[in-house]
Amino acid sequence: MTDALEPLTPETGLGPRADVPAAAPPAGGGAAASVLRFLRVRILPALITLWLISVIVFASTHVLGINVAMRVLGRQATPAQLADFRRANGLDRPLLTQYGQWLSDFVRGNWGMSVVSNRPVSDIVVPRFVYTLILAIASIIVALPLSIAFGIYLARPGSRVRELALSITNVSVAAVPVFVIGIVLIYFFSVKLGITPVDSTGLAFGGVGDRIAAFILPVLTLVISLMPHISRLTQVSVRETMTTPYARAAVLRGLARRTITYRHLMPNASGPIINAVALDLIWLVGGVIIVENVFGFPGMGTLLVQSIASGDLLVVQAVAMLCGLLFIGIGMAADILVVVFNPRMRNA
Amino acid sequence: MSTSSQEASCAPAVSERRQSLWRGVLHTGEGRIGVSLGLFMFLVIVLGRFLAPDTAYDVATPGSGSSAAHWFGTDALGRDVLSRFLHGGTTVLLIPLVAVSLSLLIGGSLGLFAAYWGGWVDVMIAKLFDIVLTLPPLLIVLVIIGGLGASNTVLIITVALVYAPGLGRVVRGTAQQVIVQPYVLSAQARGERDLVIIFREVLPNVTGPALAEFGLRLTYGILFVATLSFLGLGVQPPAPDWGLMVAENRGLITVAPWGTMLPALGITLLAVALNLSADALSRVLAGDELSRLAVI
Repeated sequence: MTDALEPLTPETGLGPRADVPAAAPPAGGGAAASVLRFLRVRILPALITLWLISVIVFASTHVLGINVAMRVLGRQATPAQLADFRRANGLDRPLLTQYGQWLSDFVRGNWGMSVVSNRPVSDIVVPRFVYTLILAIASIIVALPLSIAFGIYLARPGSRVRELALSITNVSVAAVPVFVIGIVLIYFFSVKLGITPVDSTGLAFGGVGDRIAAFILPVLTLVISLMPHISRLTQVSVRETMTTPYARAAVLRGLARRTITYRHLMPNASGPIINAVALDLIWLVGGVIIVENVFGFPGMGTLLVQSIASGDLLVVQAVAMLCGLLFIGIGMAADILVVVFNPRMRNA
Repeated sequence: MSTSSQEASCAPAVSERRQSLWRGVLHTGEGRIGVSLGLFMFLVIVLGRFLAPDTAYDVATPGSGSSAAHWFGTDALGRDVLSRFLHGGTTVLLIPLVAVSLSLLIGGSLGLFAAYWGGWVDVMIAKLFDIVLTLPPLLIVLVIIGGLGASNTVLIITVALVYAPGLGRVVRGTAQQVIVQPYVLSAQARGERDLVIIFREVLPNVTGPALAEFGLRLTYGILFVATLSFLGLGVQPPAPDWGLMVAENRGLITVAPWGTMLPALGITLLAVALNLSADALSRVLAGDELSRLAVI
């Protein structure tokens, strides 16, 4: 029973993540057809998502937060002043025109001035974007090999007790809130042991060593929160390839277990894994926002929460749009990796 | 196999099947741990306020560690941590519970009607679900809260909308398996009205998978709302709320760690309990042929 494939649903026992449309089956046909297919299956939905994010951002910060004028001029502004401001800034035009103007301004990098700090929004956002990008990519780079190795370990057939213990651990770790993971790590590594900084201020003020140290706990937190999901997916994917004819043939040829796992099973299991990891990015966006706020990391997540609290809506718009872009960009990079890694898709 | 699943889906057998689901969950190791832990946390949340030594707002010496008067110390304003903890679970459970129920109502009815009517209505609703599911939820909810401000109503509605498509997809998938069953066809042949068929024949047979998904979403919802409160954009001070308490007491973690650790532990245990129970339930359902087809 233990080495038979468990009847798993995509979300069985997986952590707190939103589910997402099922991954596309491998492509077939010629090169031109596969490029077209890639455009239709990947690029088009990505553009739709990005467009939808822009509509939601515009609607909630521009339309719902309708009193942009009052936020800028202050509560004492007279109705006449408010009307003047609205006319001067085009806030009295039809919404669709305003949306078009806003979007074209945004695309051209014209993001406006921050109401709170009176500096151009792009000056505030861009340096933080770089830090967030490094944090997100570092976490994926550390989390992937660790979780995949752990998943391969999980995929080995074992006793019922071992299976149950590992599964309960996995499901439990998946339910620990990210901010709790971060705070527990701070408590043990920074307060009790004193080996890591308590927050990420070293990134802004410290030397090279402080800068690197500032990344340790945030990355570790994200890695711990990503691991249950990716390792579970790896486990399922490797077990599936174990039942295939080529895996049996490899066993019958007397190949070493290690060779079978890494040369025969992993290349074929990696497609679904990377696909699923790409879908995990939805969750990573949230994880990064939370982790930055736990550690006071000077990235986009802290900026987003601060500017929401202070009502700096232009900054909120820019940060949200860039987060959306980042998320879609990393997703596409993962898609290209699938093609590179999976032998069956490379021939297509 | 197929006859047993058909028998199990017949109307008279529904309550029996529900009992066996319950027994199945308690039969798994995960289910036993999850359900008993969940029950314990539920009692802490519901009855805790009556056991609290103080109200949530009484003040004493600020930032003190454990003492005889304050077992888990006091927070930065001198309020008793244990008392605030015992008062503070309600919002952690109640807001997500209301939001996810609303989400089930919206997503579930859309999914049910989509599956029953089929055709372009089904295609449109399924596409809508897929598109909303590609959005990063925390980002979207933060942006909406940025525009509308943080309040319990905004929190409940936005969280409900974010989770509706996931629940809707599961209900739609399950209902698609149910509506081709002979008892639905015979009800249609008898000329019963569509709404009667949906509520009397289809609905009782999608509750199992919907319940498992509900449990899973409730876990997400609890983490989500607690996270928003932690970020200062959920439950607002001075309310006692576990997520908010973690944020409020973080600065005191070196002198009075319980102020942070106790509420963090509360949220974690509640979420772990729910996740284990939901996982056990979906494993039990996965043994059932009809539901296995449906949840995927």
